[in-house]
Amino acid sequence: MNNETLNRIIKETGSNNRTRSGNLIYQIMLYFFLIAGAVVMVFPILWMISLSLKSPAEIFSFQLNLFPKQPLWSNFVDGWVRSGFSKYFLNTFIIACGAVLFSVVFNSMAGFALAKYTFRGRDSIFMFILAALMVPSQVNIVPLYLLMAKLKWINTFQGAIIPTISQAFGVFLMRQYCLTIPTELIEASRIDGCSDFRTFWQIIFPLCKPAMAVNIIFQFMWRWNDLLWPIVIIRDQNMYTIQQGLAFFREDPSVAGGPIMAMSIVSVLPIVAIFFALQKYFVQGIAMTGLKS
Amino acid sequence: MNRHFKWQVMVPYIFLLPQLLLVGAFAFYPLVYNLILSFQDVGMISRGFVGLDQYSLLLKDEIFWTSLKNTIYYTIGTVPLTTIVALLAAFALNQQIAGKKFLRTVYLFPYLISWVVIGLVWQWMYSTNYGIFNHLLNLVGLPGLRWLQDPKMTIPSIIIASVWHDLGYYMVIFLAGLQSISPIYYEASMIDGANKWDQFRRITLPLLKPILFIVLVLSMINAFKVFDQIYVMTGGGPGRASLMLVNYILSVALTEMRLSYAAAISIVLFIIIMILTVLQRVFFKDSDTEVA
Repeated sequence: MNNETLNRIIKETGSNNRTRSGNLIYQIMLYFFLIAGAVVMVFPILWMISLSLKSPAEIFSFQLNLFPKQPLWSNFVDGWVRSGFSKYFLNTFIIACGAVLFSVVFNSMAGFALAKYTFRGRDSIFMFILAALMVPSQVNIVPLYLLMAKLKWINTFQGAIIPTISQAFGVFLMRQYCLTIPTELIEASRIDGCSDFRTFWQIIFPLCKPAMAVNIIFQFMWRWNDLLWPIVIIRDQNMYTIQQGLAFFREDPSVAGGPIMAMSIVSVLPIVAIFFALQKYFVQGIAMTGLKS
Repeated sequence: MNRHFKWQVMVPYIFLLPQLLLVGAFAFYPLVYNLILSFQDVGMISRGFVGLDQYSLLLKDEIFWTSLKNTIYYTIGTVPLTTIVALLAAFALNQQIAGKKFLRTVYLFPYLISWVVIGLVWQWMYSTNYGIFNHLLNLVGLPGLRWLQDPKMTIPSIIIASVWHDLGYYMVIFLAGLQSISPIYYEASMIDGANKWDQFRRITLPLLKPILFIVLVLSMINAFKVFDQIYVMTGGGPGRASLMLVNYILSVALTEMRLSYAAAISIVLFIIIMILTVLQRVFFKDSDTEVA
């Protein structure tokens, strides 16, 4: 078989693997490892679901079943009612949505200005904002805590939201996206007598939806899953976030075990819903975080 | 007319103002404040400016060295393992196979879940008496391990959970890199009789080098910032066997209220992360020009 025929076969079959017998073993091994890997990836999640439906007697037994003998659905009710998880969910929703709202508006304003205006200091301002990406929030705990105490923002929603929205990831994202919008569009609206701010709200903002989707997903996930900043800023149990609630009550006898696992599952649901609704953007966003830096 | 002109010049600055205020107030101002704090003594009893006292205290603080050592151990454990597994997963899931999309989602899924939830589940799985891992070990006739209680086992146990959680994230970055490699290279090498391993070694790895480096540095930076999994799974224990830098900063600052000392440790952590970031930038510029 000469190269040309081989090449033709490759093109015709579309799959370059099944043409040679050695590749069959390769295929089998590939599937074997991928499926074994998938089992390892899924198992802890299945185990979490399993634990959430078990009674204490079944959790603390030497017989371990993936499928509970008698699924105890009341764990979900107990978890929700005891220890105030409804409050923690509400708090976390307020914090995550607040952070998303502010960062989406402020990041796109900044990104738009950096992409579509020429003005003195533009490049240094862009560098300044990018440099903020290099300052990890973990390092700033102490001064931020003192700043919050001075502002009397400890145990408040503004304290939980505002310091977190300085993250510059979204600015970079919006700037890159705005660069792709034709400048003629902005000029045309200016000729039509549109003010800059109306142009932004009515023309740019709606056009940036894909970049905004990425920003929304990540900001929401970061805030929803965050533990460190809530620990620093929130001391009052009534203000706890869901992650704090789970961490704090994990050993509390009234909910430990099944009910806490049930609440863990409920806490994951909003993120999972957003993920499946906007999966494409999510994956794009991760790829960007890797490629931008 | 003149007034209108001035207004027009101000527009981009007005758009930028909120973000600049936020970045200034909550990223840069704290950093400077941090540095100033570390040369003072602010805490339960404040003594004002003390020069390098906090840093000399740091050098003699055994707990600090333990937490630094643990953090480095954790980093050395997670970074190569996560990178290799993520790279292999990305390579496998970049082939033409059935169920590719579904499998990618499965591998990425743990990354969506908060560390608190992951920590709770893995804590149960690692449980000495009621955990699934020891159960499986017993089934094949091996004695159970004290995963999180044995000081020698606790960091490796946390590393396993971390690799499981972060794998999908780095896999997606690698996949983006793999998809940017033109299929022509693979087709040509097939004709030359190269097998999959040759392709991986001679085509994929060299072309993926810049991405590989980014993933390495990114995962190193993330490993140095480790906090949540420790807080939930071990609390730094047993003893101080799994105490990490950020966990130590938090307990010094909020439990002991030695704010200046915590600031000094933060500055050390910042310098480590800065070195890694600069390293990455320098390298990325190089590889950029190489490609272009």
